[in-house]
Amino acid sequence: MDEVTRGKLEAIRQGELSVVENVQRMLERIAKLNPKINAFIELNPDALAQAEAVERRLRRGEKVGKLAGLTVGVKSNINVLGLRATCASKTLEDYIATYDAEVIKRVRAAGGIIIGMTNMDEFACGSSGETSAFGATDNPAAPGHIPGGSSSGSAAAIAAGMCDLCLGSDTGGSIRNPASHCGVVGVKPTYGLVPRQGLIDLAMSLDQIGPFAPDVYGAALLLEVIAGFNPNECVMLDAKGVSYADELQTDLKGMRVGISPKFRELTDPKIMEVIDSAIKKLQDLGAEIVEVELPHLEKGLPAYYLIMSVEFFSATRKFDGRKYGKRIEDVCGDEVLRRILRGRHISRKEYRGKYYQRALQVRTIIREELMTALEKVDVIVGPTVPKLPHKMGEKISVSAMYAYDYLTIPANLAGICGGVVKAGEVDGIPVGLQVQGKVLGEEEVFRVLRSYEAVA
Amino acid sequence: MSEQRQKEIELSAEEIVESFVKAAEGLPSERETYYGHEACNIMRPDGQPSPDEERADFRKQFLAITPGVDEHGNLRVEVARWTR
Repeated sequence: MDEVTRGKLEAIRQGELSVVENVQRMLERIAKLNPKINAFIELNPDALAQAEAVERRLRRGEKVGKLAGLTVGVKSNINVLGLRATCASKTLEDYIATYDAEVIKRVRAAGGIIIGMTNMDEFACGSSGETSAFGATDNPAAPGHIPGGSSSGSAAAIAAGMCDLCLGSDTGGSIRNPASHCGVVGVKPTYGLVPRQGLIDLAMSLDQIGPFAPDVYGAALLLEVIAGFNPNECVMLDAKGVSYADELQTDLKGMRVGISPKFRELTDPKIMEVIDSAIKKLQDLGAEIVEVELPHLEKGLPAYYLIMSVEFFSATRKFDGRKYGKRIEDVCGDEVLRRILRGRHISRKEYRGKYYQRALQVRTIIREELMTALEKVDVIVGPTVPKLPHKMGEKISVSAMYAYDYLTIPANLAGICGGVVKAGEVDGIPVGLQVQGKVLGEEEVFRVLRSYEAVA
Repeated sequence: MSEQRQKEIELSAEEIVESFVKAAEGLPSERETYYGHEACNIMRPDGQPSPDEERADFRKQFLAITPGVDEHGNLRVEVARWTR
């Protein structure tokens, strides 16, 4: 799988595969597999027409973008003109987007074909892909197990080969967690690198849109298309002309790679065996392995769930059933309601900085620990999810569900970047290696991901 | 959703909040971080606030995409129907 995207692009450019044929094949595959996997909840009726337009430009020898002819699935919390942005909730089940999000404009400008909207946990509130109002998503890489979440459909669509690339969003691990469980590549960019305009918020200070792909090259290519400054957003970094795909290297000589004993404390030993073996391979590729201290890493989880709940409570006040959609509290699922009520509870009881303000202080502690560690090393590597995915339909407690996020949340709290590549398997279930990088350290993250992919 | 189910969810929501207070006990009191990148201010490597002209530019761009502005330059949001 390590060069699928590059090969497909070459075939399209050489005329060995037409854009229309590519879209048709994907639509056929979706028709065949989606009834079981449930990765897509809506398809783009204009996909073939858009493919024909890109095809015409290619035949005429006109300049086309970096994604020319590739099919792109989009998480259902991102606005795509004319398609439903439901957030996989009954609240917005009839809401048709009236504009393209900034990232969608960039994908279209690069010649990408939006093939449809992918399933997700309702309002991105979940880590299993089971809370969607449109039904749970199955894991194509480990059938019968959860695919992870909340970008469940995007990860599953890539794992099942239903489209070439996908967009997801990551607030506490919602790209990296399903990428790990489904054995695909997923990247959460640095906060502020990718425009959020057109993304329906879960928690605005943590959300970031990012790519899924079957290989590191595809993720790098999609990220460089969607990344970069947007003057209409007030929390964007001034990153111009980012380039990742052409810079991919496959050796790690001179790189300092951090590992933390904290990961072992929090993670299933079977998963750690796979990760230890992956770290050994990084060492063989020339990386210097350095131990770093992250003593309060696990404290990020409760702090995250407080901050996220307060921001989510605020973000959902517009879903009051007056302007559009239905009143959220009347139709949402248990987990969405739990987060709304928690946010309301904190907002009502917030005094003397006991809750929200305290959580923001813990956020500072986590951030500073990661920043200090990343001064000593170029990247930190470890497991993505501390435990294996449960079987679909199995009842687990709320705290057990939240525990999936222990190792992904810190990057969101700190605003740094992180990527995932398949490290191996435990009992036939994929396990992802997480590579966390500095603020705007995507190039180093891709270098480690690609180097590992090349030898795995 | 039944009232009892809603009560159960509310209770579990509150329990998680209280468990956070316990988890945060003993941790040092730091300043608060509202946004991931505000502390390192990588948009301005000199660490200084943006100059006035940049702020004016931002305001101009911001106003250009707002639904409306009144004669004093204040943002005009939609007037709810029930107030008319």
